[in-house]
Amino acid sequence: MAEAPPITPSAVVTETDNATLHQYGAAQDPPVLIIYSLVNRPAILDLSHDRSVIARLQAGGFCVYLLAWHPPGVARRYLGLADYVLGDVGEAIDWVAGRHAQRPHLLGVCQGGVLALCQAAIRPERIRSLTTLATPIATDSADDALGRLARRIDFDALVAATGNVTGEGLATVFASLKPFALGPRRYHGLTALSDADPVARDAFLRMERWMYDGPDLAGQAFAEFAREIYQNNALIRDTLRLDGQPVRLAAIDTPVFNAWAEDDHLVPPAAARALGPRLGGECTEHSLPGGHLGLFIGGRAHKALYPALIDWLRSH
Amino acid sequence: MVSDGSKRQNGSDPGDWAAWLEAFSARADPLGVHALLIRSADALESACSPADALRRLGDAIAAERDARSRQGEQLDALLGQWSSTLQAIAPAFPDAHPADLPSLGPYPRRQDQWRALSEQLDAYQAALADHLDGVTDLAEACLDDLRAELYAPDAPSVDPERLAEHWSAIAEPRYEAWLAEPATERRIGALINAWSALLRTVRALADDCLEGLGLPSARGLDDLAAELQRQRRRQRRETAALRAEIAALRQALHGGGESTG
Repeated sequence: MAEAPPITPSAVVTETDNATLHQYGAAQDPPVLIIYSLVNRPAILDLSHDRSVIARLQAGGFCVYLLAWHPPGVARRYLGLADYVLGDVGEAIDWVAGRHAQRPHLLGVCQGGVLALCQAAIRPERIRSLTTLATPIATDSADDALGRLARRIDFDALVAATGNVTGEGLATVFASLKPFALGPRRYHGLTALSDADPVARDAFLRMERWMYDGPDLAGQAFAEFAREIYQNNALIRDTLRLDGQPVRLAAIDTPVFNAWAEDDHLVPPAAARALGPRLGGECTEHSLPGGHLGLFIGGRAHKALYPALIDWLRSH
Repeated sequence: MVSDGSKRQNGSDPGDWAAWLEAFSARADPLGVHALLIRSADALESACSPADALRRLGDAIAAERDARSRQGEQLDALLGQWSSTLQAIAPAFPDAHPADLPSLGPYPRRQDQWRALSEQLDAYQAALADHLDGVTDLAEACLDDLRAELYAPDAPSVDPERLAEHWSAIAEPRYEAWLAEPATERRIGALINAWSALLRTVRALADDCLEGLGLPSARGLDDLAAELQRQRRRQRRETAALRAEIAALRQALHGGGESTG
């Protein structure tokens, strides 16, 4: 299945060890660096003309950079969170800061928000601000389905057996949380869709590709993330360390914008809103009705969330 | 070992063993069809009239019947002897679960692996059965509700689309509640952990075979990946140190202000 082609034109500006840095927009505008999740592909941020997060930020007057992860091959199964955070994310920040002669705004999406938080906690002085979208911080709430399922699994044993974790396997886990919504209800209108206009058909197929064409995950990074974030609740307990360096949310004194969706079944509101009270600096919060994906492609998000975010970024 | 029961079979007489093996060498024809066809063909070949043929055929069937009867007695004696032999040698074997026995003799690691494989296979099957029981209970409960709704006196007419909607409306909340139960969480965890352990042992055994043939193994690739990772981390730390040094030098050179390097 081919990856959905991007909507907004971009240029590849550099490569880090495990990612490609794409630039959208003019270099004279202030930079926003997006750190996407290691799960799924960043195409969701640029899935259609009228619902593109990247295009909206660019139109808001920012030069947008996207750090697009390379799927790890078998030789990279031992890549850990420290490699991604201290290596690739740090390198991308330095590169963008050097190019623009100013610190970038860092924007983390879902799991990418955790990676961005880790970087911000260890090197807060390197970024202008931090934005987290649907980012899991506290994973011990009763409605955290992923947190519950993860509780009894020996992730180190799992990846010792599997090596890397397949994208298909993860997509199946996510689909199994909402099998009716993502199964019969989603495909119910297929016949009607075949008669629909090409734009609607293309949008459906793009989303389909995005949902089930996720990249594999480096085994060690997956195990570390699942163990530390979901089993040990390490961000809340201040127990996460990367290469021996502590990741303490209180060390983040840069301004933070934290947004979540009220009906998110993957990152429930309780998981995301736990961030604000634990930060060392100011935190602006924004929640809106809808599910996980609605935060990126929903009409409400594009009407309310992103204009608010752009205003906030401009003011920092 | 074939015995007429007149003497106790202790396995010391080679003749007994030969007879015992001979019993297995008989043609595999448990219903006697093949033997009956042979006898019938022989009988018909030597018949000189239709009446003679029928008489000879009757004799052939009777002869086969006698032979089958004798074989039945022989089989009965054989099974009896086999059973008593197994009873006799049982005390010579360990009376403990194989998992409780230490590895003995050469290849202890291999013995451990095979024992682990057996135990892990059992554990995986048990975890899978447990999980499938849970899924089956859920599905049956949903089906019961759907049936009750369909058989209700005021049930609306059913078409496939409405049926699918009914099914989703009944099953979805039940599924989500089931997924949130601690027992489901426990069963899924047990299943994944059992699968991980089993897969790891199977991989190790497969790696042994591949390495024995001089072929690349997953274990070999893992070693290379681990070595690459050590080099990558070392390089990253050295690069970070160099960058910090450059930034400090720039800071010293240009004084305060926002550093970008």
